[in-house]
Amino acid sequence: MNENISRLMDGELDDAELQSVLSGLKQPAGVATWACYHAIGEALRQQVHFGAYALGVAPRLAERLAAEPTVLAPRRVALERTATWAWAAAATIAAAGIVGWTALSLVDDTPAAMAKAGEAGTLRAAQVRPAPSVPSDYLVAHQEYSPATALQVVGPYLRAAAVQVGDARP
Amino acid sequence: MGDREVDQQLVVRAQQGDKRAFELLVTKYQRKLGRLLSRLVRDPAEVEDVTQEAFIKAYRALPSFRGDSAFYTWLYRIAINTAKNYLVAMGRRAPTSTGFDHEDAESFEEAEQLRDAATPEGELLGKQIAATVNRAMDQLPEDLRTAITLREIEGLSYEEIATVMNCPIGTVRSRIFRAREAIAAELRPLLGTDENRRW
Repeated sequence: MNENISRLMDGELDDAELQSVLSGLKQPAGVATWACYHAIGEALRQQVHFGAYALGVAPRLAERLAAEPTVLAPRRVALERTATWAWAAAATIAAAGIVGWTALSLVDDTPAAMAKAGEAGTLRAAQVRPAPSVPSDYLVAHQEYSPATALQVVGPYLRAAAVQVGDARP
Repeated sequence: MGDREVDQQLVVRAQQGDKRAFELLVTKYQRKLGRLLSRLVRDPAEVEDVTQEAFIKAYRALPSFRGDSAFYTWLYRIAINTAKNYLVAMGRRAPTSTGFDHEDAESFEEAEQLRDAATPEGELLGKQIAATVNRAMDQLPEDLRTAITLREIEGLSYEEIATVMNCPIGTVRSRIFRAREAIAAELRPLLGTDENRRW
């Protein structure tokens, strides 16, 4: 046990060993060894403190700590990292699912639907076709108002003009 | 796993309700923190009070510790603020600067400047600890003394020590442990830290 405490102090334990050593450090003997080894290190580094209190947890502090409500904090760092990643992935999958489902639900490729679509196209063409009673010169005169032309908006303001270009060159 | 990771593991356990894990952090850092606070609060009894108050505040604030900085750096900030508040409450002017930044806090070793903050008993104990450790070091075999020196004073990892001493890592681990045990055997009677007793 003491050898593992020594390795723990030096940061040379792996995670699997760490759990058992930390459990062992709950025993008074383990705590005493932990404190003694740290005191040795401080003495070797000439960091001995000439304070009034002992090397262990000072009795008064130990009493105050014992009186404190036990801290129970969630594993915030690990949870937040996992949650961020998980929420991002879930949002991506949900978005892709909604778009895909919407697109598929709009496509109706049954034979009946195809027939309806063909019929609707024929009807629309018939509605757009001009009535035979309308004279062609009327259509030509009002062509600028036709939605078929891209110049519909500015059409009424367009005027044909002819300009004679003289010998402007030197 | 480095020193910071060891502290983080202890913090995580303390955050899950293990008070003993926090006590291990107290045991590890209370003297270091006391040295630092001695620069702000000169009276030894007051240093002890402020140190204890800082640890209590740190314990209460544990749920907010996210591990973005090293535990000691976080503790250091709490301790400095505690000391400043204490001085203000006592009607004394808190220094605008502690004279050293967080990085310095990690390696602050000006023990000579702190002697005036010691009680006679504390100073005597400190001298006895230093003398005992030095005497025990002198009695160690050369390979054990070299290994513990490279680790504790030079701060080398086991792998680096193995390279320097031209031996397997397992041998380094064993030498450092045996050195610590040999010194601890001399030190325990002085500290009253019998392995079977909690103090």
